[in-house]
Amino acid sequence: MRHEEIKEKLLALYDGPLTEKERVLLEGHLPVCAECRQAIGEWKTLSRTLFARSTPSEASEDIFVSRIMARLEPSPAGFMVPFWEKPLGWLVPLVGSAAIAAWVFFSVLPNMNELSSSPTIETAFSSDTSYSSSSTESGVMFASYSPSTYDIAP
Amino acid sequence: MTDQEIIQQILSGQTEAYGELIRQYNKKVVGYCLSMLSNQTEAQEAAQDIFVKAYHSLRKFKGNSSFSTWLYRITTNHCLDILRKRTRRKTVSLDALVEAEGDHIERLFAVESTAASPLENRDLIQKILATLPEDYRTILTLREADGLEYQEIADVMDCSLDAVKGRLSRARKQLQEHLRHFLKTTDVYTIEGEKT
Repeated sequence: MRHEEIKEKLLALYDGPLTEKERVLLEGHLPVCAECRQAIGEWKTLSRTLFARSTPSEASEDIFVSRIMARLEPSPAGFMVPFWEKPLGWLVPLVGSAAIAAWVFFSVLPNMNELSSSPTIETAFSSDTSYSSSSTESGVMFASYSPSTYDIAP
Repeated sequence: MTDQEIIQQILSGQTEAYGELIRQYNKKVVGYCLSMLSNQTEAQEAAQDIFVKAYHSLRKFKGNSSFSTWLYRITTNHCLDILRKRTRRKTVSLDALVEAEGDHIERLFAVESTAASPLENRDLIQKILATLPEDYRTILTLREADGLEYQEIADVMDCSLDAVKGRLSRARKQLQEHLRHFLKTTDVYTIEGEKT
């Protein structure tokens, strides 16, 4: 390996992720190369100076923690899992739709048939009242009512 | 107790257990925010927001990565959002800073070499870090301050291992080239226990 290649890998030696072969090569090179030793020494000084971390005092840590905890919701309501994220949660809308469809099929549709075969309002009342129906533009039927003998006299 | 066990406790209603997670990671999160934002007050506020955000997203944490990697990712995104919002703030180049504060920078590294606390020079350190591009600052902080492995950095930054290696190398080169003449290096072979 050329000197330039070794120099490129120097800080990888400092970081650690090297193969055993590379490590042996670099460790063999450092004792005989002042330039590389200087480069690695420079970086160590820079790193220690610029990236040192202070340890927060226990008191400041307590204040920090209590400030955050005060901002959190007191109950775990925030952790309620929406039904669609629960296991098999996708079944909920499916079962709901099926129940509605069953209700429509077994309860509403048979009654609709009965309704269609039963006498209409018009025929039921035609003997004693005079109704006239008219169709509006929107298609809605309105019945106009005129009093008959069933009406209670004032 | 592992992070995962604490998270299970929180999700089952023991929200006070979150304090334990905050204590465990507050130094890292505040430190990371400080390196990224270069402002103590902003870093403290950002760190609080990050912990609140993480709490509310805890249900989404599936455990595919470690909690710390997940938290670092939230922290990185939050800091980058803040940095993007303050793009109008004037940034100084490292060259200009070296020219303006050369004496101070020299003292900074001189202090370090005599084993005094470099944290006394926090303001200057923050100014130096603020001159770096966002991605260089992110990657250097994750590697140098937090000691993350290359793969962890790739997970946090959502990039490939090769991208991490390349970016880290370029970021180091930039810092080293600008600050080299301030460094009074000691031969690595003369520092006991330093040889890696």
